[in-house]
Amino acid sequence: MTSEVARTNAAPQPWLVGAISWAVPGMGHVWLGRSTRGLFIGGTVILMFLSGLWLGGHLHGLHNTPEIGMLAYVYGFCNLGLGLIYLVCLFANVGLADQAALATAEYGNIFLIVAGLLNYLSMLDAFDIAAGRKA
Amino acid sequence: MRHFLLMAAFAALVAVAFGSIGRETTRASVVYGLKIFAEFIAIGLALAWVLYLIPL
Repeated sequence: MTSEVARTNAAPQPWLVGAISWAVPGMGHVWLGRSTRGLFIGGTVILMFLSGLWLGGHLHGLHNTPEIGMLAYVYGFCNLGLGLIYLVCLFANVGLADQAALATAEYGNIFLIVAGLLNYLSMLDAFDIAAGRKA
Repeated sequence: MRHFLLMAAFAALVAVAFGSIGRETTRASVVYGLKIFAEFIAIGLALAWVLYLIPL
């Protein structure tokens, strides 16, 4: 009984695991002892983010824009899934410039959006594992 | 060709992510990831032809 209580108390809170997983892609899984899974998903998210920037995509802020209006909120929410990377880029003004002249710019935007969405998925997966809903 | 390569790169990255999350064992993850990759490519090519043939 005491060891069960101790083990339960030692297990991280699911919401905290999810938050860590959002902030640093893959870190939630690493914290739970699923290092391989964490490195794969975190590496994929980061690689997709870097590819998106390299292709000429740009991050969207959490505000509407004259070009796409309210849809920018959706894109901004998707980019927010990148966690601290997104916040650092926002404050450092990195990756925000629209490079529509590049032929691959729209691909880059999609890569950036999906990278954020994949990290949301990773965050939910880490939460489920920490909550015991998943092995 | 560039479009296809970019689509393949996108499919590969998403397949790795889905394979990592969707299955528990390494073998099951690899098989699932390859299946996801193949489906992305197949559906992408099918949609490309459909959109190409639709007169607009």
